Amino acid sequence: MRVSIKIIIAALFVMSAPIAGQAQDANPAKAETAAPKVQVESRLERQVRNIASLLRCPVCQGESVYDSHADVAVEMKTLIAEKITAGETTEQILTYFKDRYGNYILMEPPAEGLHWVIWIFPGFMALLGAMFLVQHLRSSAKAEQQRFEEQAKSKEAPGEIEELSL
Amino acid sequence: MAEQTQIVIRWWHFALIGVMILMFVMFAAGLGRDTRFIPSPLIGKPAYDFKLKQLRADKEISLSDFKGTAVVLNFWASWCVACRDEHHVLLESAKKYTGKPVQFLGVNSKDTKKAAIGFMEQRGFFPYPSVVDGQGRLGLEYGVYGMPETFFINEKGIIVAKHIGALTPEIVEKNIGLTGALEQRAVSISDDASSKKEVRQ
Amino acid sequence: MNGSLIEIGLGATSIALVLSVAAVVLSFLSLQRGAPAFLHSARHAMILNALLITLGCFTIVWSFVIKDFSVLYVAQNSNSQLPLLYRLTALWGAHEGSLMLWLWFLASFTAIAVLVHWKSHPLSMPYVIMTLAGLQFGFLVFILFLSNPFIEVHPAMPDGRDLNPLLQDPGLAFHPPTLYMGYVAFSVPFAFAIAALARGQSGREWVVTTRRWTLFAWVALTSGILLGGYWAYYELGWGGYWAWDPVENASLMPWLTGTAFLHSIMAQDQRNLFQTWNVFLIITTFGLSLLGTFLVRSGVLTSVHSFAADPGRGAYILGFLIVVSVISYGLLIWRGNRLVGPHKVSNLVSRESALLYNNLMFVAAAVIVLTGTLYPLAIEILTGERVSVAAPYFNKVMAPLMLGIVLLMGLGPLIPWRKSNFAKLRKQFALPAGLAVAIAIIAYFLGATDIIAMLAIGLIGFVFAATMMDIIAAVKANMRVTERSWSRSLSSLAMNNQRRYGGFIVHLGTLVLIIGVVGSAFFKEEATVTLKPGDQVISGPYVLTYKAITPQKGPNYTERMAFFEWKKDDGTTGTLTPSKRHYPVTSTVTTEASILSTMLGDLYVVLGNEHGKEEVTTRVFWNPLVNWIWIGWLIVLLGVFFAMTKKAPKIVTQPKEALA
Repeated sequence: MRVSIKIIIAALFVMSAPIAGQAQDANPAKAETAAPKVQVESRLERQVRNIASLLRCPVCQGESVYDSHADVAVEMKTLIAEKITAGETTEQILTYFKDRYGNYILMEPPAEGLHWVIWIFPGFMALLGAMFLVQHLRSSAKAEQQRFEEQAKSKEAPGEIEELSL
Repeated sequence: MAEQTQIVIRWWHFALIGVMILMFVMFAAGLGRDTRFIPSPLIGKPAYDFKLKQLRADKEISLSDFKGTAVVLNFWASWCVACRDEHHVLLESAKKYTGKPVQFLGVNSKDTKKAAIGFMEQRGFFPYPSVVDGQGRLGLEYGVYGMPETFFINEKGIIVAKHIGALTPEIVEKNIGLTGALEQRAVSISDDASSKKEVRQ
Repeated sequence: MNGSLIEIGLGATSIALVLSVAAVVLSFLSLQRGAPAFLHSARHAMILNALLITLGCFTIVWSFVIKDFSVLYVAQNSNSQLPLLYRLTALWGAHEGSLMLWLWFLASFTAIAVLVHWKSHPLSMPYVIMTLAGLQFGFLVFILFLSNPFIEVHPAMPDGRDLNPLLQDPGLAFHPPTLYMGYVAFSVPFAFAIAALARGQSGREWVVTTRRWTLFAWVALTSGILLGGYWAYYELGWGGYWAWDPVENASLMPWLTGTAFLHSIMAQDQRNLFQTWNVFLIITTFGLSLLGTFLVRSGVLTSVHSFAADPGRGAYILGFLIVVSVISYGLLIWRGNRLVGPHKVSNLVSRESALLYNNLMFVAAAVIVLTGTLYPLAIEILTGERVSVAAPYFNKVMAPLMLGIVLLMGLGPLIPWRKSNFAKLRKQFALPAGLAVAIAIIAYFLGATDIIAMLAIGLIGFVFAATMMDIIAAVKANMRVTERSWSRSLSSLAMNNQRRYGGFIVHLGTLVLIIGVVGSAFFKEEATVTLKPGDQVISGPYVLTYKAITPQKGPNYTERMAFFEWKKDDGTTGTLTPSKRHYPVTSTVTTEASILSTMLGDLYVVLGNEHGKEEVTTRVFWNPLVNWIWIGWLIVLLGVFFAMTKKAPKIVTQPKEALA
């Protein structure tokens, strides 16, 4: 990942850069693993992060459980870790919290029941807006064409004020 | 400057007015409400049974020990400000309901034994036991957001009400009424007939 | 100096209230009776108000400086231990003072607008003064009766309660004032929009004036938002800069509609199009600025940033919002059609239609942010259920829109006015499009497997290539005609089209900013690890070694500071010192992130809990390209500055229009 980022950045600006990025691959840590202990985030910790990021910290009201340092959030993370170790799935763990705290505990409303509205709305609105806009542009182009022709016929300055319905 | 053009009615006029009215009605409705109140999905569900150590005794208590009576389960901690406000309400209510099929039970959460006992020494000991919920695990089972929170459980072990924030005598009375504990036993307990009426109200 | 100073401030602010009413009445009378003398008086009232409110603010600031704890606001928001810088910035540390700052900007901008545009906009001036004085009145009433910062307590408190520790940060010295400056500066174009509706015309001079003010407001708002992000990034300690918090959303909405306006006003300038739509956009932008205030201060929405919630205040701001919207949108509905010119868009593929596509996207973005922010409120009122709409939702729905906006950023400026067609477009954009596809494919094979990331990288390449090709073509053509060197051609082109090239610079800066956003959003590495002294963590190109943790003491806090040594593969080393601070007065704990900031990315370390024996849980982030966000911002500033240094065309007022 690390290397690829560099290459992407380079590629964006200097088209011939991929070679430059590769040279920096050598990681000193890999060489000197002998003496100090290298701590790597465990698989468990990563799973906890993935789940805790989907839950809202109940007392902070903006942060996710994962980002929060509040006591409740810390305890929730411990519980999530225990549940993962016990073999529960992400789905089961989220349901556990949802059953006790309600949908409020989820960072986004579940796409079910009435909450479909919030998920469909953006696409619906964008579509509606685009349809309206194209329709409007078509009709105004037509009107403009007519005006142009009339003007050419009568050779008069535009007299009446037309409406722009936007 | 002087010539008056007519107002031309357009569809977007209605859309604009509609959206505005909708938003303002929503804001107005949103102003009065208590943002801290979050409805609990646990209402109407069986209360989670636990077996935990007591704060001031070595014996463990479980919720099922109190099957057959209503339980007022109060989550508290010495560091919580609102817990200080509701402390006297709990003392008085516990006294008021002695002899009735209502059991008060405290859950001391995310606290130290020393601080919790100190808190009671200063303000008065609860006349009922509190269990110790070390890091707040029981709180998670009950979907506790912050403290204090109080659950009202009926004699069948079903949660009938939850209150977030400091209790008042009225709230305690209303919610104990919801557990139905007083109606059932009102016949056998004769000393306070008037409270029954208030409760049913 | 003692309590009497703050009384002077209260007195000055109260007189300002009276004068704001006077200015509304006087400008109304000047219209009614056609008597310019009234308007002169209104003008003086507005200039005097700026001075009076400056005095009012000064008395509060001075009370902070001399630690006068007999002033309630000072006692609530500072402490004798608080350093001078934060005692100065404590003015906007809480609700009352923030409003005072807000009012100060409003009064200052009113005075500036009245002084600068007095001669060039004689016919609009009565309406402009009436609107701005009315707004001042609304805020003055709110401050004096519902959020008074001049309240005294007797006897004085022995010491203050201290400023919210989160706000004790140099970043906060600049974030709120810049943000408010942006919000409030939209009031001037708003006043001109009202004037245009009332007069039934928005001419050439109107376009110039509103565009300049909006550009100024926009750049302030942009800066305010980014400074806020920067502050959140290093002060809140979760490794990110934007959380889609309701308060952040509140500042983004006027930014989105303001950006739409800055684009569509070009069509009015060049082709006499979209007059009503532009007025609608200005009104909406200012309305959303006010809405932001309402959302933050009423307690209708909960947020980490919320100021003291108070339903009484909420009801007032809601009432104010309703009055402003009814008047402004009412005028729009009533007289908006008078502004319409004879022209219409004549082709679906043209600059003017591209601007409309742009507007569609920005307005849609604003609507989505608005609905997402208000959805929990709506659901609670309808069904009683509480839900959260937070970052994951907004990231999902906004990403495609943002991609569309980036695409238009490459297309729009290069499509000619009036008419083009798809065949021409194909020719013009074939090469950049091919390049974009190639870049996206390369990115995919190098690890950008996320579809959005891939598209974003491709589009960034597209816009960059398309814009550069256009500039190069223009320079080449210029060189051919003038036979000058390429650098002189470029500079003469830029200097003769300052707005166009300023716009290019702004777009380029935005592109750089987006590179930073894409880099830090899609290629972030993070790890939570528990470390003993001597343990190492690998993050990005760095190896981090945990050394020790020691207690430290600050002026008004104590802290536990950890020492980390970082080492890069090229052999460079250094130290990072994240800490946890305890503020005894407010008894709060804050986490101070420690950041190694480079062009390639940031190494970001935050402390979690200590477990005794110097064992500590640590979160380590590798945030690639974050700095590009702030650099992009600087380029945007440069572009706006370049575009604004162009002298406004002198508009000669026709004699019959002159008032006096």
